[in-house]
Amino acid sequence: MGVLIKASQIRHAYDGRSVLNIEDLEVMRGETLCLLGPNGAGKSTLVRILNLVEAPDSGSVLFEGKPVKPGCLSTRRRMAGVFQHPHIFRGSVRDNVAYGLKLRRLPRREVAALTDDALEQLALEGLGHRDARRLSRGEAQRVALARAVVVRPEVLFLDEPAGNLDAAARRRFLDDLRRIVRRLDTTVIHVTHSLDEALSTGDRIAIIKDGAIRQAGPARQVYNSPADIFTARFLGYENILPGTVVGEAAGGAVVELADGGRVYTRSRMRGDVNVCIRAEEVTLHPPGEAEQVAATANRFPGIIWTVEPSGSAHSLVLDCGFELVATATRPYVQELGLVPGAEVEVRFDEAAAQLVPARVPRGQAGAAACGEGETVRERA
Amino acid sequence: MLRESVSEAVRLLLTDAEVWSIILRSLLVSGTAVLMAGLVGIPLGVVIGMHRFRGRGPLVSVINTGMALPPVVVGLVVFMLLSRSGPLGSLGLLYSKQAMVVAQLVLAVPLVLGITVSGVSSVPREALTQARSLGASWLQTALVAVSEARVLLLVAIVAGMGRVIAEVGAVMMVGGNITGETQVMTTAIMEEVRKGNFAPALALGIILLTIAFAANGLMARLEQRTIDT
Repeated sequence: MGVLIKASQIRHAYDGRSVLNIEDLEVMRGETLCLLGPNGAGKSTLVRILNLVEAPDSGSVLFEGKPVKPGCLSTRRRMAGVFQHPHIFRGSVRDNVAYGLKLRRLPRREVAALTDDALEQLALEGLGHRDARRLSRGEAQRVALARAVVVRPEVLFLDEPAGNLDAAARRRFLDDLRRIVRRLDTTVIHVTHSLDEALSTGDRIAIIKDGAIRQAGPARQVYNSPADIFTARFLGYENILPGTVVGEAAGGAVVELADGGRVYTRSRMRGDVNVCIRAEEVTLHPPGEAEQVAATANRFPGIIWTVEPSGSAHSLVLDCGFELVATATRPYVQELGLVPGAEVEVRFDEAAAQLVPARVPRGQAGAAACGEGETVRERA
Repeated sequence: MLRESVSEAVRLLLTDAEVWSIILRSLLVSGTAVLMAGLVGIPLGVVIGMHRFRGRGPLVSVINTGMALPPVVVGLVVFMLLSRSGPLGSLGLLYSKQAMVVAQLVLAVPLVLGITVSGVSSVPREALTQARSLGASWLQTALVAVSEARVLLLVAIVAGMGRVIAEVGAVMMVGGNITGETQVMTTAIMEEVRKGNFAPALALGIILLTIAFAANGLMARLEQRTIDT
């Protein structure tokens, strides 16, 4: 392990408009780091800079602790990238896959052997002699992946490689990707705006917004503890309830919600906060149901406003004095008779109630809405 | 008269060595000029087309203006440079094929350069980014640009040839239209018409037209291919 790439003080602007302002980003050897953020957050620019394809206006990139000059060929040849709109070079599928090997002037026999292997890895053997510009999008993207992994890169950059594919091609591509990354044992920097993709591929996640890193950490940790209201929305927290910490109980903050009601948490935050709760963490029970062992202190009587079927689960909006979104499986909804107007008891665990500061950091207010849009689309 | 001239022109084309020596000289002079223009204009055009730098816009404007340089002005300038009292007078090149090549080179370079720049500029950025990402050096990236823009590079050469072979002002001025030495198709046509010999003028005219027609046809086909791919 250890730090493989370190970027610091990276600033970049296009036509005077600042697109990147990265204080500090470290990529560990062998990890998969997901750069997650809405469109236009600067993710792709960051990838091109780390890939040494583009030079930043200022700042430095360190590879194995040593500063690299922009465009440094020897370091760049230890990396390879797959982009959202893959540019397929003129020629056959085979020519495209062999391209990076030929650039490195490898002996012909080695080129052939490595190319065969890469084609086989991505089930492209049969397409080797096809005109690479007459492929479906899914096939083209697999060619793009094959020609990147064929050079055995120490760093593999993936810039929304599945972003342009339909659901079936996307699933297949991501499966191939996971398998190959495991086999290659390489460091991966994966740009995506899909939370699911980030959680299923990433060891660590860095959330980027307006060219800056808003939160970074192990994938699960980021998923479970948003740093601010923007990341909370982006990470899919449906319930974000403003309130104030009024005291402490069992070592955690007690929050008085602005709309009324007290929420018990495990947080140590003070002052004005937002309580963030995922819909799937909210459970619904018949009113007056017998107390369970290890029951939570967060119990509210609620009335169902709406029940929205979506796939296998239903999404419910409840009035508990404050508005709360919950999910429930279809059989459960039927069993409990969860229809609009029904009375239920709403519970969620103290640990499910995450606190973020109420104050939205500068320049974030408009962004949150955008992040929410992204999240909704990804989850739909 | 026209019918007689045409049949005489055809007869000349089939039998006359003098007419063919003029045609070959024309092709040699213009071909050399365009080849050299390609050697200068294409690499330079690729460099300008691939990079974004300060002053690029004005530079491209200058090149595009150069595409419309009046041949007589180019002829005048080259004449003044090569004339005995000019800065390059000691080379003794005035009224030689070399002088004509120089003049046509000056005419062809901006055209080749301008079309190359616009062709390479229109290569999608993703192509170059992708090549660099897979480990292409600067030169290897430039080769990708050339490969992507190859049809327009051919168009540049064909357009250059079409321009210089049909041009009369510059070659007349610096070549002097010396029979058997620096007489090319366009200058020969002028002289024959002035003398009232329409048949040889028409014979050369037919060849010039054929070349222009072939060049334009080729360009149209090439441009169609750019659209297709």
